[in-house]
Amino acid sequence: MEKNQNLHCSRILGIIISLTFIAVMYVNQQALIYQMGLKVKQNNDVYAKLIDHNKIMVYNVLNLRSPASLERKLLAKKVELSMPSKWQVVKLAKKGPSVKLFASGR
Amino acid sequence: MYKGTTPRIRKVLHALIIAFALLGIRLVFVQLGAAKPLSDIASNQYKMAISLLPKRGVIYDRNLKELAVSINLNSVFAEPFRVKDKASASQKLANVLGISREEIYKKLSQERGFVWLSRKVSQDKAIKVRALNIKGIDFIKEPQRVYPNAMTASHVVGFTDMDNNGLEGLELRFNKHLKGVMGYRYAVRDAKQREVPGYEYKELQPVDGDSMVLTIDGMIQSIAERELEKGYEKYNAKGACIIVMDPFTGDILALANRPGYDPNNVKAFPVDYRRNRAICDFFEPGSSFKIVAASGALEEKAVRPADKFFCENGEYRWAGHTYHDHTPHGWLQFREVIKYSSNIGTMKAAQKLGKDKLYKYVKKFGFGEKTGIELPGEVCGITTHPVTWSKLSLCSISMGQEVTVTALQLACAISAIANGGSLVKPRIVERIQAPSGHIIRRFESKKPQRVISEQTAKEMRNILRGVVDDGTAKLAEVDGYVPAGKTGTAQKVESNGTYSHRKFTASFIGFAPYDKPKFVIAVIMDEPRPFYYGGVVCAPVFKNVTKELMSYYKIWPKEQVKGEAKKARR
Repeated sequence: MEKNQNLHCSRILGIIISLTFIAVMYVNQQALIYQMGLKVKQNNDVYAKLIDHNKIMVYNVLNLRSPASLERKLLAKKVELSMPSKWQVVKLAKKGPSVKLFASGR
Repeated sequence: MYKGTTPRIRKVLHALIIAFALLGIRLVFVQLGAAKPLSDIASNQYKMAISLLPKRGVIYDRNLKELAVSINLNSVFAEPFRVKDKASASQKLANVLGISREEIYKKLSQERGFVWLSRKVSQDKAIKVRALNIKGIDFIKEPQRVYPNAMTASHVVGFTDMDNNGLEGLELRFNKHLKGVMGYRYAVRDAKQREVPGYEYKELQPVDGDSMVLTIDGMIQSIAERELEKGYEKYNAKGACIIVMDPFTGDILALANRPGYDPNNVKAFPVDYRRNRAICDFFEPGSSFKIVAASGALEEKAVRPADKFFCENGEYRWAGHTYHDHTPHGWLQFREVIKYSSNIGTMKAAQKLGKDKLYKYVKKFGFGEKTGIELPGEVCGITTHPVTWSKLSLCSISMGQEVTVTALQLACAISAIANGGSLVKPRIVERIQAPSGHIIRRFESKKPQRVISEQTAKEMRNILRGVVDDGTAKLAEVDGYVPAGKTGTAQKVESNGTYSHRKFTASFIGFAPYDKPKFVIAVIMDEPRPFYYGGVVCAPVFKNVTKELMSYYKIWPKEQVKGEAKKARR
């Protein structure tokens, strides 16, 4: 009778310990999920920040190379550009077979 | 059951049974009766919806150079209840944000959970605000529309408001395509209203806006704007506009207006500066409209280029009204009538053509109707039916009075002469494409409508070449190239209904080279001063733009062209 009672008690204890272990594992898993989520979010934020920074830099480049901006800078430096006269231009012959031969190193 | 228990314990037991019974009843009530509203309250407390903003589409020119892009900027907000020392915080923020201390203090004193302090601040400002490390002050990223070319093509591209809705130009007209669709992420939040990462339970991805490719060429636009600006400032005009167009396809290569505005800083400019004068303003064109009567008269064979007209030595009385030429002429060939822009000669040619046929050509050249360009706010101008015309109307309309037109309509009309006689529909948008590059809609050039025969168009091109070569538009001549065109100087109507002697609209419409036109250009100036003739104020703008465009298109100047062209016209 007493032996049966002890067996019963240890079974209940086993179940309680198992349940507690499972519960702790569950909480641990949730904490891990949260931590991983946080890391992903942080990385995403860094990525988004870099993308934004890149976009701003690209915009600055576009701004700097816009014709109006270039013109302003050239005018400020008193650089005047004009198309060359016909006599100042040397037209190169189109690539013919001989040019190809030369280019290929024969 | 209660054997061996004291009455006190029994009482406690009874109380517990009653308490549990009540709890049981409450449980049943909560679970069955009030489950829905209570679960709604609970989910409202821990669930949150986060808006995911779509990227607004990019606007490109025809060479895929960006005209409008979006970047993300920080917007500063406050949670007033979390800001402890409001006075000190206001002072610090005012120094960085450039807003008055009182205004910030007023915002921080509001009994609200959220208040904007400054939206879309620069990177530098955001860094400085972050460095202040004030509790209750935070940032939200918001997309900001920016225009790398600033004022260039601002009337075409337009601009957006704080919430990225298009307010002008193509940004307004194609807002639906450019804006995209907002997405949402439904997530769980903690007690401090922060998103708990990894617990999103639903996400609807935003759909980014479509991009647009225009027919505008950024380089040509820049040249046109620069030269227009020079002319606009030199002649103190009230307004000015220029259109550069491909006469064969109707592609608008450049469209600019003055005064202009910078879409990056719209508030710094008066509202009136935003008006796209090239399509929204109509005006009496004056002599540049003579191309219609001249083309009609030649097409209907009412006149021939060599026919002679007596120009009454500059004064002609018709139907009780006296018409004048700005320079008196005697006998002139019809080609010279146009070359020297004789009002009297043109009227006599129009009389030979007749009012019904003149009206037919006015309509055929597209006047009195919208061109259908993909820009908002286009007007159609005014043309009246011959049944309503007075005795003077035929003469007046032939020389560009009693009709109103837009600069774009004039550009289309001169294109018909340049391209061999067909009226093209202008287009400014080439295609709309998805962020993936897939083309959603292509704006094909519409089939041109024949207005005059190729022979008439050729005769008109020769006549218009004479206008530049030796007529009223000598200042439009470009050495080594052979442009052609027509000048116009129209008196504006005063508020009392009479023609003004102080206010004029000057115009020049032309193309180059005259035998194989590569582009047409229309230049209009509103109330230029002190000079007001189209041949004086607009022709030089045409000349300068043409010269640069020829270089841009790598068309070398011909030598001895002047002599050759004269020979050809003979």
